Amino acid sequence: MSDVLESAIAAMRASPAGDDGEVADATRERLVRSLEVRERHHRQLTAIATVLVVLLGGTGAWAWSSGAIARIFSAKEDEPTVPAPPPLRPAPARATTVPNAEPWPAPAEAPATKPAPAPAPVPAPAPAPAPRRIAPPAPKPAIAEVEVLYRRAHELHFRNGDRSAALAAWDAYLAAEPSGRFSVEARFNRALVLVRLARYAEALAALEPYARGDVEGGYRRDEAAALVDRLRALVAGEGSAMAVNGGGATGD
Amino acid sequence: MRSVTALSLPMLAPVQEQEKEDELVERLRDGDRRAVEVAYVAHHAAIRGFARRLVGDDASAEDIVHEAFVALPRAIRRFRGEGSLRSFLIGVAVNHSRRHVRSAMRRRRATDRLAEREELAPRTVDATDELARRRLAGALQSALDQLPIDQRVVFVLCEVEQRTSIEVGAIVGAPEGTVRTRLFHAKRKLRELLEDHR
Repeated sequence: MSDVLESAIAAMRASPAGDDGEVADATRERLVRSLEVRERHHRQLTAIATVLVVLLGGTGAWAWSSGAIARIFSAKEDEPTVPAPPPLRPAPARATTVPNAEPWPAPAEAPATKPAPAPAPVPAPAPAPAPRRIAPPAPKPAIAEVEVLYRRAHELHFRNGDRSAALAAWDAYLAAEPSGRFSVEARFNRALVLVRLARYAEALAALEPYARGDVEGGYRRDEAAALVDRLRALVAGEGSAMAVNGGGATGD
Repeated sequence: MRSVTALSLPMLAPVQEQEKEDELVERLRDGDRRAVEVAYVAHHAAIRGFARRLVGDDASAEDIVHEAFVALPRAIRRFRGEGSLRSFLIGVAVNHSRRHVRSAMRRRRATDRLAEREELAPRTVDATDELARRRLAGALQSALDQLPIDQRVVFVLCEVEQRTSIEVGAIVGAPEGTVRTRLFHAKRKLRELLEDHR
C-alpha cells in the first residue's frame, strides 16, 4: 500500500520543476511591470497624503491661531449648562450701528427705572453714527482669548443672571483688554451689574461718561442719561432702592 | 599569501553567500525594486517548483510566483533572518497559494470530467514509463485536492521537496510536532485515495 504512495511521490519529484526559461522570463517581465505600477501608485498616494497633511495642518494651525477651535470648544462646553435665554426686548437701533462689534447677538440691557415718570428707557432711534471700529481681518491669538472672556461675562450676566460672577467676569475682561473692541459695551454692562448689586455710587460714576456722550459714538447715551438721573436721586437719598429694583427691565 | 587565500576561499564561500543575502535583504527592506529582480533571478525556480507541485497547475503556479515576489518588499519586514531567504519566500508563496489551490482544483476537476466525456483519458496500460509516471503524478495531484490546505502544504514540502520538519515548521509558522501530525494524516489519507485509484 505504501509503495503506491512512494511511487507517486517519486513521480511527482521527477516532474519538471521550475526551470522553465520562457515562462520564467515572462513572469519576470510581469513582475517588473507590477512593481513599477505599485511604485507609481505609492508615489501618487504619498503625494496625495502630503497635500492632505499640509491642508489639514494649515487649516488646523489657522483655526488654532485664529481662536476658532477655542470658540468651538467653549461653545460645546457651555451648551448643556446654559438655560434658554430669557425673552429679550428688541435691541435699540443704535446697537445695530456697531457692525462686527460682537460675534453673537447681544441682548440690550434696559435702564432699571420705573417706566412712568422717567424718560423712556429705550429712546427713539437716533441717527446712525458711523461704525466705531472695524474688526481686523486676521485676529491674533490674544484677541481670541479676550473674546472668550467677553463671551463668558456676557453669559454670566444675561443668561445665568449671576451678578457677582458677572461683575468679576467683566472686570477680568476689562483687565485683559482695557481699550479693546468690546470695552465700551463691557463698561456699560459692568455699570448695569453694579446697579443690580445696589452699588449705586459706583454705577453712577461708571455711567456718567456715557450720559455725557463722552464715549465714542455716543454709545447708549440716552439710556445712560436716564439711569444717571435715577441713580443721582438714589445716591442723594431720595426715595428708596425700590425705584431700581422694581423696574425689572434691566435685561437680567 | 596566495596559498592562504586559496585555502580560505572555500571556507569563506558560505559566509560570502550569507553576506550577499544579508545585503539583498537590506536592499529589499529599503524598497529597492532592482533587489526584487535579483531575488527573483536567484529563487524563482525553487518557488515555481514548489508552487507547481502544490497546485498542480502551471498557470496558477505562475500567478503564485508573481504574487509572492510582488509582495516581497512588504513581506520582507517580517523576515528576522532565522532561516534562508528562499524558505521565507516559500512561506510567502504558501500564504498566496490558498486561493490558487482552490481555483486549480476546480479547473482540474473540469478537465477530468471533460476528458472522461470525450474519452480522452488513456484506458490501456501505458506503454512508456514516462506516461505511467505522469499518470501516477496526476493521481497524486488529484488525491492532494482531497486534503486540507495545511496538510497539503506540509506533504509537498516534506515528502516531495524533502525538507526537514524543522524547516517546514519555520516556513509555515507551526511547531515541528504540528508539522509531523499534519504529515501523518496527509499520508494516511493519500494512501487510501491512491489505493482506491489503483
